[in-house]
Amino acid sequence: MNGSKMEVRDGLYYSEEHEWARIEDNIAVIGITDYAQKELKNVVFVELPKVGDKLTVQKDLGYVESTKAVNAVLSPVSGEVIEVNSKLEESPELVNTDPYGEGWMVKVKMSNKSELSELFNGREYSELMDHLVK
Amino acid sequence: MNSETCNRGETGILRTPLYSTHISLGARMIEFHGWEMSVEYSDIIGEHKAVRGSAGLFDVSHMNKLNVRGDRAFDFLQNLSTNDISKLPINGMKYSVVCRDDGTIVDDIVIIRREDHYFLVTNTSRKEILMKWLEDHTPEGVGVEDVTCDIATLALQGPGSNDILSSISEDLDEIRFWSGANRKVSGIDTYITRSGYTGEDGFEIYSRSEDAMHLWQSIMDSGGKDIKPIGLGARDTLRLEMGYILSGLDISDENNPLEAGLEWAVKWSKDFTGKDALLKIKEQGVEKKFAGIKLERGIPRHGYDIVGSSGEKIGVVTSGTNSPMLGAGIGLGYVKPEYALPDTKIGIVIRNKTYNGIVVKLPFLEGRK
Repeated sequence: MNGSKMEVRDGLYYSEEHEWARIEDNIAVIGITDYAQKELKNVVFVELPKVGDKLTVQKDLGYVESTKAVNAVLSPVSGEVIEVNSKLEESPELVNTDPYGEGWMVKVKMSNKSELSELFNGREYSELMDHLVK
Repeated sequence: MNSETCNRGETGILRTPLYSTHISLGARMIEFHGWEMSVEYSDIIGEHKAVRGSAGLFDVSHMNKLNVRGDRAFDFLQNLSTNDISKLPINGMKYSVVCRDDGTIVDDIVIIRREDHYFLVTNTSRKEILMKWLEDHTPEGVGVEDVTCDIATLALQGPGSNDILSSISEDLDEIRFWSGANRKVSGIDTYITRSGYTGEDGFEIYSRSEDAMHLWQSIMDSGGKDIKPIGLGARDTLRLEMGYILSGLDISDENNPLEAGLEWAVKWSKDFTGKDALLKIKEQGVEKKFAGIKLERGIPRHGYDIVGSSGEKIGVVTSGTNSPMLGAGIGLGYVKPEYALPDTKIGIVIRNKTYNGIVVKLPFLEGRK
């Protein structure tokens, strides 16, 4: 990276593979981090699961494609997909412009909330960032 | 190869004379067939649009470059490859294909006729295979010299290229499309051809390796705000929009020039290696045809299956991307001949799902060279 600043938001859970999850009761809203979108650059296609699909922690949730490459998005939690961000079909670039907001990917009803303890908090993920961008 | 003249990194990886320039520009570097090359500086789409809109400068010094000399150099090259160079004038440039006896492709090449020798530009990814073929087939009285590391190659591409280069070069007007000339650029000795791999007007500029950094900077300064450095990422999306073949991906050891849509570069009126086999293939008809494919959604990529309406496999994608200008997935590949007509509905299988598309006439992007 060019040493440009990576945004890490408080209050989210983060995976080592650069996915984030925002927890609202039993629901996890999932996307990829600012670091991930900056690494990918130019997101031009996003493939998401369908509502009702069952996701397994650390397994493929979907795919983000840049001009040059295909990258799997791994689910940070297990559970059932209850909503997908259909805006990304027409506007995949939202993943670049607003990774923690309009660029969200799926909402998942978690089946095992204890999986969250395996994820980083904002401070821990920031430390990982400091290590990565050096 | 003239390996003593090549720059290398600690791991032995080859570096062009512009390596430190790329690093100082913050380029993302990747290994590309033994070379440490810049894949992007800012981002591929931005670089792509700069070339289509104004101008971009590429370091393509990794391209394999050969001098072919000797009394029999003409006979050797004329027999080696499919196109006819008998009427090629001095400073003329010709695309041609090197085939084996069975008609399969060793590599595609560009031949430039200089005053006292021929200058060949060939593909980095096919270098080993081509060099072995040349070693086995070069006759007495012909010398093939690898000058890849002695000569740097910059490609200046885009509608603004002529203005940018004119202001620092001797006259360019008489360098017509696909021909070359010696010119001083900012006082540096260069050989310039009006050619490229993007579909835009532009030049490929050869200089001594030691002059490359100065030459790069002069062109960037001349271009000012109207020029960007361009990496291999955008080089690939630019050539794909034009439907230009990339050797090693779109054509390889198992392909012949007829199925690859390259018969325009095969001249039946002369003799060349592979002619008998290709004549037989022409008579019998090809088993597959090269085609352009455009998807409604999704991005075709190398190795993906192409299927017909009932899901049966009818071909395979050899390269593809998302077209920055069209905003759609585009790809090149081979299909059964009956599916090769424009507007034929096909599908591409991406991670076990079929995405709808059609066969389109090349180039994908119209209104260019």
